[in-house]
Amino acid sequence: MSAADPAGRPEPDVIRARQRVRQSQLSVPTAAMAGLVLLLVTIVLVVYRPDVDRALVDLPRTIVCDTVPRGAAVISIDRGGMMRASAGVDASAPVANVDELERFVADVVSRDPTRPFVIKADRNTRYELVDRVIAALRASRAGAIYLLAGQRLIDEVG
Amino acid sequence: MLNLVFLVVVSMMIAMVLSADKGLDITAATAAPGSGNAAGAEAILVRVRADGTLLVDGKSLESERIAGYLKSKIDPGSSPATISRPVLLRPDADAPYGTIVDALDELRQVRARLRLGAELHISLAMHSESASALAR
Repeated sequence: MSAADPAGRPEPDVIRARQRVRQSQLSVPTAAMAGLVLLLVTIVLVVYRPDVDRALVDLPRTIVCDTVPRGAAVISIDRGGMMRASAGVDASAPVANVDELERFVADVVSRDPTRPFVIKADRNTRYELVDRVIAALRASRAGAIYLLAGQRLIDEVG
Repeated sequence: MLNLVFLVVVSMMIAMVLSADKGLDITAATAAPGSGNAAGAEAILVRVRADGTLLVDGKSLESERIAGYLKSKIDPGSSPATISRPVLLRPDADAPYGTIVDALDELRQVRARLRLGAELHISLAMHSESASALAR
């Protein structure tokens, strides 16, 4: 059966089919694209965590690791013994001494008694400094306390 | 499209897991004496010296041998195996922090290595407080 009449023009059905094909080729899937972009933005928002403390430390590494809750307050001690503190939202700020650290911890705990704290210390730091930080946290009745560590790989064991 | 969404969701889950900070929860280890952490029994003392070496009940041990030593401290006849004596980790003030974390990590693995029925009661002695109060 021919798709054209004797004058050489295509049948109306054929014309409509060709138009449908042409339309489908020209259409931009904006709805699907918008959905995808929204999804990607959501992923970035969920996964991205601004690093509140930029202190450069050589972290100890452990096999047993707990997941540190999001938004935990951070107290860092670098190799030189410099302390910095962040409530978990803003960037960390230097802390001059243990008294100032105690005031900072007390302030954070008074605002949110369940806020966890993370101690981020260089592996070569003297324990005495870390001990003072833990004592300050305990004195203020801080909730959960974590020692930040890197994951130790099985190949490194033994 | 559905495949793409699925892939993106899986990627997101993996990224979330990988991006999470890891650390040792020492809340219980640093709890105040008498808060239910340490039993009344005499503690097994793990001392971390300034040079990074370990003394376990006065004996020099490498950290990898702690589990082997603690095997002898399993309560006789306990089933599942249990070590009821608390472990007191007492670092010297000058001890490198990394060594203390290494020791804590080893102690946290003892349960799995010795197939204990319960976690060890680990306490971290504080210099700013009376260590003897923790050890009791």
